[in-house]
Amino acid sequence: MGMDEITGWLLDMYEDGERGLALWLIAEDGRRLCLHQAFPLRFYAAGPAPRLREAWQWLSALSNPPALARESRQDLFQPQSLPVLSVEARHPAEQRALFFKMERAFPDLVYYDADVQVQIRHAALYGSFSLAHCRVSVDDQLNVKAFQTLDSPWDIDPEQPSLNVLEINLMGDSPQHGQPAHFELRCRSWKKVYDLVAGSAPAYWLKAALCKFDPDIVITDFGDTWLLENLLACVKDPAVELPLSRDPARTIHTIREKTYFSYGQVVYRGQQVHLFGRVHIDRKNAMMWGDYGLEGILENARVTALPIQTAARVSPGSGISCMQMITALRGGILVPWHKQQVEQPRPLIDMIHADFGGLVYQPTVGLHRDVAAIDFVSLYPAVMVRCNISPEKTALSLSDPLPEDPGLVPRTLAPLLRKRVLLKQRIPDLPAWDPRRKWYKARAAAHKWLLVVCFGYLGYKNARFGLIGSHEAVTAGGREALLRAKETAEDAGFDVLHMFVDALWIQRKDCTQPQHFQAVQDEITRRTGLPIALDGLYRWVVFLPSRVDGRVPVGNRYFGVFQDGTVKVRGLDARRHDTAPWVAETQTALIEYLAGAPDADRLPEYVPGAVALLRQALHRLSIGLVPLEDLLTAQRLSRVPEKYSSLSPSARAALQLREAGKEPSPGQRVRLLYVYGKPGVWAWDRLEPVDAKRIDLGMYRKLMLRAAADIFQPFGISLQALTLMVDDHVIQAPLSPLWGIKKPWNAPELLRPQPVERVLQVNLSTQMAFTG
Amino acid sequence: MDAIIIPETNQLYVVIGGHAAADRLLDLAARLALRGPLLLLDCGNRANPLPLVRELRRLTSDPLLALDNIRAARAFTCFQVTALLEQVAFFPTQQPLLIFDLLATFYDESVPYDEGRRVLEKSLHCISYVRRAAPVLISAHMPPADFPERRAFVEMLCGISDQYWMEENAVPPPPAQPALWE
Amino acid sequence: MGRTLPSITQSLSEEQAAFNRFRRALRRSDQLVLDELFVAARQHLAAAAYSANLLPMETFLLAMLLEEHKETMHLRAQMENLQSRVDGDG
Repeated sequence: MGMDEITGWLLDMYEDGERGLALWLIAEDGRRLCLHQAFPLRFYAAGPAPRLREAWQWLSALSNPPALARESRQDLFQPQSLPVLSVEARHPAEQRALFFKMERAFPDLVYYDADVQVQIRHAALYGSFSLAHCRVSVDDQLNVKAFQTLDSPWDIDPEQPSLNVLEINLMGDSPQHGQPAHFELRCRSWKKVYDLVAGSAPAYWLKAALCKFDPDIVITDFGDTWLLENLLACVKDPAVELPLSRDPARTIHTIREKTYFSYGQVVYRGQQVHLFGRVHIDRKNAMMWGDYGLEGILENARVTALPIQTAARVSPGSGISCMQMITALRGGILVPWHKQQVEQPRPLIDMIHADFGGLVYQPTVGLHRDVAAIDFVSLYPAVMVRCNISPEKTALSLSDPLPEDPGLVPRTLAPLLRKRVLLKQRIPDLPAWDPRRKWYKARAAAHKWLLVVCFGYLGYKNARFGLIGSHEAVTAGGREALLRAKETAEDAGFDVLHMFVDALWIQRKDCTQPQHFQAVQDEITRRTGLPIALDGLYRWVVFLPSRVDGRVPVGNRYFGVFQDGTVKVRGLDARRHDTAPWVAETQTALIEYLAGAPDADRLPEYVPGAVALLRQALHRLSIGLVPLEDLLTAQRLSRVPEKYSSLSPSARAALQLREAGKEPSPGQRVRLLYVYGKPGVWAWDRLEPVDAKRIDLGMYRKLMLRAAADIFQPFGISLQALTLMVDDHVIQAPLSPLWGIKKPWNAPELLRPQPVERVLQVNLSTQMAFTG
Repeated sequence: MDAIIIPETNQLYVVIGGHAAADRLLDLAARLALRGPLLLLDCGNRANPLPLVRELRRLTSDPLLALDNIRAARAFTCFQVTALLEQVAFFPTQQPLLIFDLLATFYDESVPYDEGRRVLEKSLHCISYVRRAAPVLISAHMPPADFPERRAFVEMLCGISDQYWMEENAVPPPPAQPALWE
Repeated sequence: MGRTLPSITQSLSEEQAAFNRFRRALRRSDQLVLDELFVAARQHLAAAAYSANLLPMETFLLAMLLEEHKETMHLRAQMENLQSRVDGDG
């Protein structure tokens, strides 16, 4: 039998019945090959010896019994190795069936390595991952005889295959709202627009493009929830008439929609359509598409070893879990099926002292100039690595020497953290035209999400290697780091205006350039052992108080302008998902207008212009120039309408959709307009179009003014004052030249709403006094 | 519910209800802590220690001394509940055992009914074992509306008790986990 | 993962609620002053959380006192400032 050696990149991998695995390779010569690899695998059972013996006999009595052995293996949470029954299946499908049967017959045994995805097992065994560069030896039936991975997911600039990407872009209405009229097919520079007519024609056009370009990746709008199934429904023989998958033996794999709870939130996960030998990504259903796009998704798949189609859709928590499993499998540590590790009883007092999260300070409310925001780079993961926080280890403190024998969690995180820091360091050195800049940024963003969730995941109740005690050690390390940073900054004469979990906002009169803050950062790193970076130097920044009570500062409501002119906004309407785009955009425009001021001293001159801008926006609303789409708010439905005691706008809209036969599930966002009369809302996805005359202009005006008031507040202009100014066309002068001068004590009177009369009395004479 | 008092012998008391049931159990925990060591298992994030400390401050001039008597552990899945109880039963201490919201994790949608039932049987077996050497006090709530069939779990629990109290009109809590972040 | 302890913000609300009967019996003007005291306690929630006091109200009382004293020092400084101006004029 002839043997062949092929070098290429791994695109896709899935179970393939008795043949083991199907591997799709993009060969260096451009061929797309489907290889087959035998993949026998083991799982383990532990328990009392007599029960294990019974299980052994039961398995031996099966027709075609699996290979059995008695072994000694390591459970992460137990000091000694554990006697286990090892069951070896011939291929993944058999393993799943065997485990299913055995678990029913012996539910009291403890199972390990029983439900690990094949891609994760392959990664543990061969170092493989999505888009890994690899060399395989195959026989003439394309059966893999040897597999070798040539690169590592931690390479900064890996050699990449050239991927064919076909986009299917829907044009016109979204399918939730109406019927899209056209669709565009696009591959590199080729593109063509087709009518989305009834019948099988669209499927044939798509088939032609699939045959012409043979894409590796198909990117769609609503491909998961609507498009692909609809196209397939229009043809009689999908395998022939619309071969979406490359594997001719398969069509599509549909995973149905689901609503579940996660971290106290109702989460809705839409239906998914996976392909075989080809990757389908639905932009509208890919969790992080907006944050990092295709590059980020591919990077996520590389570092987690998840299949690309899964990586595009699952939460970053699952990604981290897979990385931990790979570390465990490689280290010969058993992967428990159900987590049974328990918290050991301890004094209640300890629990009281340990059980709380990150430190969130109350900022010094008001407008501040020349403020540096510095933050620890991925604080919690860095603490986990620095302090060796892992369920099987005793955590170190920030004062201890570096760990000699890192645990499972630090071993998993360290390379990811290192890669992120490296990329972040390289980005500023790249010239603006360099394509790697965007690429690095997307990849660093993908790492960021994985690292952000790894902390939450450690305490997650179903995390296989999580433990609440580790979780507490991490927050304790984080608090210690933040307090050391505060003390360091104060020792160096800085005022600490605000602290938020991993970030500090500091200010010192003589520090106005980035380099003025370098020494204090270095000292913080020296005192904590953790990297800290300058997020940016604000020309000015405003910390806002609570909207409910103007006297109460809140942790995460601020906006400001960096020295390079970029704007940063947190906790304002512009950042909320349920804000109408018109409100969000106008609020952003106001901040950007103010950002035009060359420095904080000149800010008051920009206030009248900002008022004019707001007035203009409100005028456009009143004469009907704002498109309805820009007035849509998307609010999450937290339960079925029957379970509300008083119906929220989203519940009222959901009831309208029920009538239209389109009822949304809890966890889904419902798009709605505010309209006059009862019930006050209009579900956007209803069948009949809304009458533009019914739009509740008063409501939108109110929402806009409330959003704008946050921006004008630091200038002493209250919501009432702003309302009057906008209506009466009074040209408002800046109120007080005092706003920028920091008083020795947090003096809230600067920000208290001014009585309306006082505001209106301040007229042009003040302006003259100010400018003169 | 005020009728529920500290058992003088090794008895198994069960209180079924909402917050009131857990609060009553916390009160009893405070009183037991004045007498000596006890173990508190929290199976549903119900054992907020601050009211307990407040109650202790009312009862004694040195709440910290009494608080030292309480050891606690938490379980977040029904498998952890069983594992914890096995451990307690395996190393008997003769200390009173208070279990908060025993059934909460058994109402988890990711645990199938049969699996939950099997694991609960195992847990109840351990509890009966502990009761031979020490008093056991348990609170639990009714299953959420989505899982009416899991009322059987409540009946299983009451079935092994020496006495049980059921709060009238106990509203099943909404089927949500508490949030991680503030 | 859930948390057993209430957040510090919840704690403050609970402690504040525990004084509802006291507040109700106060004159309206005094009620508003009492509310201000709790607002003052809110300025130091992070530090109160970090202290992890078994009796959080102790910390909240100290936070109120701290804000009061800041205000006193601020007023004293203003007073001295005015005094020196008056003396200077005289």
